[in-house]
Amino acid sequence: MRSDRRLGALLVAVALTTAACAYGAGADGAVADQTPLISIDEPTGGSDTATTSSTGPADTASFAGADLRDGTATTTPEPPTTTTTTVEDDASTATTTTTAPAQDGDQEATVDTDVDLSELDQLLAELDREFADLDAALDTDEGDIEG
Amino acid sequence: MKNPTTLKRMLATGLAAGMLLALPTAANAQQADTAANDQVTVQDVTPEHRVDFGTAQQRLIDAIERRLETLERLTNVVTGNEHITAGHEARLLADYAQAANGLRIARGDAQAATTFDELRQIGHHVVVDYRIYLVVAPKTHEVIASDTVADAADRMDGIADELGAAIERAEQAGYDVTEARRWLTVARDEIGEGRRAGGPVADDVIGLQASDYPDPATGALAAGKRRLDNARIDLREAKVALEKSYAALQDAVGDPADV
Repeated sequence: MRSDRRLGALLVAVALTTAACAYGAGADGAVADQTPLISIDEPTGGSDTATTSSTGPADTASFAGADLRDGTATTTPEPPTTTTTTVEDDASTATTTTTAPAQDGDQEATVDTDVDLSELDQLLAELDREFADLDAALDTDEGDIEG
Repeated sequence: MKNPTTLKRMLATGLAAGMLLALPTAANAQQADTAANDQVTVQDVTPEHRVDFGTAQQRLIDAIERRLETLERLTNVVTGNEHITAGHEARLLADYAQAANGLRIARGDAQAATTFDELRQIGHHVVVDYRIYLVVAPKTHEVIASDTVADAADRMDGIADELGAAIERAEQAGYDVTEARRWLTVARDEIGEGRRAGGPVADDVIGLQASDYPDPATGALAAGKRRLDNARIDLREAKVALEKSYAALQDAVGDPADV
């Protein structure tokens, strides 16, 4: 009789354990059905630093190279550039540096307004030269040998 | 001793008689020299030509040489010009080669001429059949000026495109580029006007030949000159407008350029 009670207690214990495992597997299955917003790939080498990538709308920031160890993402903006504009003409040479105002709180935008206008003077000078030759050609006759 | 008054009368009478005898002899001698030196027959020689045949012949040869030199200079101008189109250059050089060939033949004819009539005919041929100074040279320079206008307009368009892109960048960065854009539009209009006025002149005049003088050559060359003058004014105004557009752009981004 004592053996039968021990066997019964053991079966009850096995049944409870089995039920508990089945419940746990069901919970895991429910989580797996959800589409993860961010996929995390372990880098080769077993480092605890994960790299993430995401594709989203145009205004979504890129998180390439983000360090998730402390749960925060950091980005490195493009360094601001400085535009140098040089204008040369007959009278003077002017150099201007243009830096556009900041577009947002973190990043400074720049605008390149560099256009070389010095060729204009050269073009007009060439045109004047051709016209001087033309005027001279139109001011010539055949001389006095005709007839 | 004779009276001094009687002596003076005798001297005067002797001089007059001597001149009457000497003049026909001198005239005959000069005619003989002319015939010997220039091979001009007595019948061909008019009084004003007796001593000038050699000079006239040389003048004609010099005139032909000047035309050949002009053609050579025009050849150098055309081949050394960076604005003229290849097609226009080829046509002008063909004209020059043909004219130079004819003028060299005329030079040989002038050197072999023996009469004034020959010289006159050669001189007339040199002027009328080639028109180096009244057709060839002017049309050459109008073709070059026209192609220069077209090339300058193209290059100004390139500058306007660069400026337009800079204005676009500034606008996207949030600057007010209204004034810069307005002057750029003016510049593009002027460039277009200049190209339309001066560009076609080359094709209008390049086909002119000596036989087209005076008409239609004179009218075509004058009209071409007027159109080229207008084109030059347009391109000058285009240059000013481009500079104003650039200055306005620099003003807009907060750092005025000294242009």
